[in-house]
Amino acid sequence: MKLEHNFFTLMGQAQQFTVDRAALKKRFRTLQREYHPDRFAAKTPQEQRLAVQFSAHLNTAFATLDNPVKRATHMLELSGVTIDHQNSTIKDPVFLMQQMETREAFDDARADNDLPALESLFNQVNTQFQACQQDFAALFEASQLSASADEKKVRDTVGKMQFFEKLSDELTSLIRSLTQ
Amino acid sequence: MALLQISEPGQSPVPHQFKRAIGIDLGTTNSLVAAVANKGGADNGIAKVINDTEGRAILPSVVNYAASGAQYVGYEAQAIAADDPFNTLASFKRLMGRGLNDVSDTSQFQIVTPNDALTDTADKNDVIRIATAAGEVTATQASAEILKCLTARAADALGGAIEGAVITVPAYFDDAQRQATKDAATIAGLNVLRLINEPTAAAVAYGLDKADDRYIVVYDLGGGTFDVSILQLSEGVFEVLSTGGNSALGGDDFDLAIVQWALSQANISAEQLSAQEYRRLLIDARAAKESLTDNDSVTVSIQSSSVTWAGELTKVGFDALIDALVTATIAACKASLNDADLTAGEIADVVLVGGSTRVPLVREQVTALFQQAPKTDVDPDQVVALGAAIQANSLIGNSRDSDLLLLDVIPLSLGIETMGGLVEKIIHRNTSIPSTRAQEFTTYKDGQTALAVHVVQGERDLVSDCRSLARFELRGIPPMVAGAARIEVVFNVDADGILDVSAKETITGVSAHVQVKPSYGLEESEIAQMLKASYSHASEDRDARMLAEQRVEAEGLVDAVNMALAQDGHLLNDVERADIDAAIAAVLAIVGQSDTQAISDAVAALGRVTDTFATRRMDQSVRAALQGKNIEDVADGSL
Repeated sequence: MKLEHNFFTLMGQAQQFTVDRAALKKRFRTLQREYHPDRFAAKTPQEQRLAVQFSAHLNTAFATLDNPVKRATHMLELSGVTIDHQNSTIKDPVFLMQQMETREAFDDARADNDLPALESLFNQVNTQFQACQQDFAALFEASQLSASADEKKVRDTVGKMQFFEKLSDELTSLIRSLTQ
Repeated sequence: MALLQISEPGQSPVPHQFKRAIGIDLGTTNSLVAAVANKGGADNGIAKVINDTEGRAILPSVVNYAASGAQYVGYEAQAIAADDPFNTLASFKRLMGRGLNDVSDTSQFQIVTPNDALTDTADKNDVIRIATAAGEVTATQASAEILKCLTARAADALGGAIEGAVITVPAYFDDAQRQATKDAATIAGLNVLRLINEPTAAAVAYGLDKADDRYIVVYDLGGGTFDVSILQLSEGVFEVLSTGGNSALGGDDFDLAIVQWALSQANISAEQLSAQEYRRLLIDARAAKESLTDNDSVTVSIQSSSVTWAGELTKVGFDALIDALVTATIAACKASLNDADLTAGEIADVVLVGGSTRVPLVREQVTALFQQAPKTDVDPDQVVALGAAIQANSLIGNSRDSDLLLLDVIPLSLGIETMGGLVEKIIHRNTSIPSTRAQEFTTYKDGQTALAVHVVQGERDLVSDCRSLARFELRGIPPMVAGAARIEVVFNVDADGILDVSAKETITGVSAHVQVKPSYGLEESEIAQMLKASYSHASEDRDARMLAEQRVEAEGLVDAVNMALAQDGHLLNDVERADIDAAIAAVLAIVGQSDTQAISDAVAALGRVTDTFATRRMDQSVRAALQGKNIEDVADGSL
């Protein structure tokens, strides 16, 4: 079964980094309403099987476009650039230094259960995460990776996004557990 | 009903035909069946529980396996239990999809059967088999007896064969437990439309699926178990955020507390009563508990050959007896709130499930914790079965109201064992289902021709802390240097949360062979054997039924394909069209004959040649939705 590989096309979104989240959710739910296996529970086994495949594909498409890092990775894939998240290393020395300082601040605040410090760190990380996403969006022109964008910079930007996402998630759960 | 093509609302191509679909609450202590009545009838589309011929809604989840080979189910089995405890199974849901390894605490199966007549299974990972006078039985088979009994009851009440069922399972059930439940339905000859989570079913019974985004608590106090689940409803998707509870705390403990009180008041010990006298006291205690829901005091009495005693139990006195028990359930609620990162104030609705939630102290404490009165309009004994019936009615296609769509997530992460006994997660918990994920692996030794894959479920990092689901062996990999082979392992989780794993070597294209050995389930052949044995009819009847079913499927598929060809034949080239026409002709040529297997093969062949066609049609309809139409048009159903 060959399914639409371009998740932007499938989800009715322009192929750009900024997505209309409300429209994305609406489109996702409209398609699930039509193609979810529940709609085929009383139909032939073949239809049921196809519905499971298509519905799973829709779930993947939504999860991909809904998450900044996955969305960025998918955009690069569509442009012929593959990212190996596990084996990619960032080579920007300024960023690496910042990253170590942020980590230290995080560890200190966690050790002291310092909620105000954690919250301020959270805001700082998210601001950087946002900025990084804007950097990534700027690398594209008219759905295409712009000619001036060099591959190393593209990979580094996605790597940074991944770092900020992870830190932001850790901070969120730590802050929640402390405010209980 | 064209192939993968949805009719426009209100334009069903086939005249609407009511189908008999049921919802089953397959409970630890009691089971129930419910159905939505045909519209136009007196009950007009309302879900109702189906009673037995004596007007009882509940079927106790008890099965007796007599030496004669006969099986007694429900109240009958309960009545025999005292005389024949060793061949009577109760609470067997606790053993569904479980191996001896899982049940380190033997009290778990002491509840199921008083004997320790568990068959010595060579493999501790094998499914638990209990020796009875009628031979070895598994929890899956006992569950099948309950399902058969309820299905027969529903078929009588609804006036014909049941075409599909929704069965509820606890939200925390893992893959093996869900698979065991589906296997039980297969043995019972029941077509499962979907397994749904018990708390979700309870929320559906209250129509909460149509509500705005919110957090819902389902407090389920059964006879012997307590479960609390916290659900998030977000844009029509129910997600289980956390579950908790106590598998050894239930309403029966309230009865026991009254018994203990009466014995101490009468200053006698339980041993001074005969088994029969003790049972009478227990029944009296239960009646007293129920009476205190509406009255301030009740008389409890003990009549034995040696003692006659009667005393007054006030509501205040009863509350003091059960206070510690109720407090324990509240503590579990708080723990679940914590797990879900929520506070009590963020909960929009509290749904009560289980007869013991009628006890006033339970309601008072639940109200105090969540700062709101819990929902009680729907009978708490029936609410899960009713929700399942509503969903069954929708899935079978009776309900025109297509708003009800439950999107579910997987409760526990799925992964495989990697070097050093670590788990590599392939599908994370809370991923929407159905879900497909592929992961590439390679060989680690030169010339390696086989690869063992161990599939596990759980959140922990070590394989030993997770639950083993299956072991696979991929054989026939052509010898290559280490790291050169590309082995793609594909995880598929269907809408019931059940996993299917396949693997292939992609570089050489050499088809490799996958063997699946379920760690805790029944083998496919075993299920087929049980299914065969379960038919009470002569084999000719069975064959006739299978032939009839196969013919219906064949004709249905040919109709669907013809309709699709009439609409979208242009999507095919001449060769593809000829292939499909030939496959249709092959089905039509054989459908009138009585070779069931040949018809089945022809249907499968037609299914294969139309796969691409169906995909293109689906693609086309998705594209049509994007061209010249905005998202509002699509949402209006003109896709």
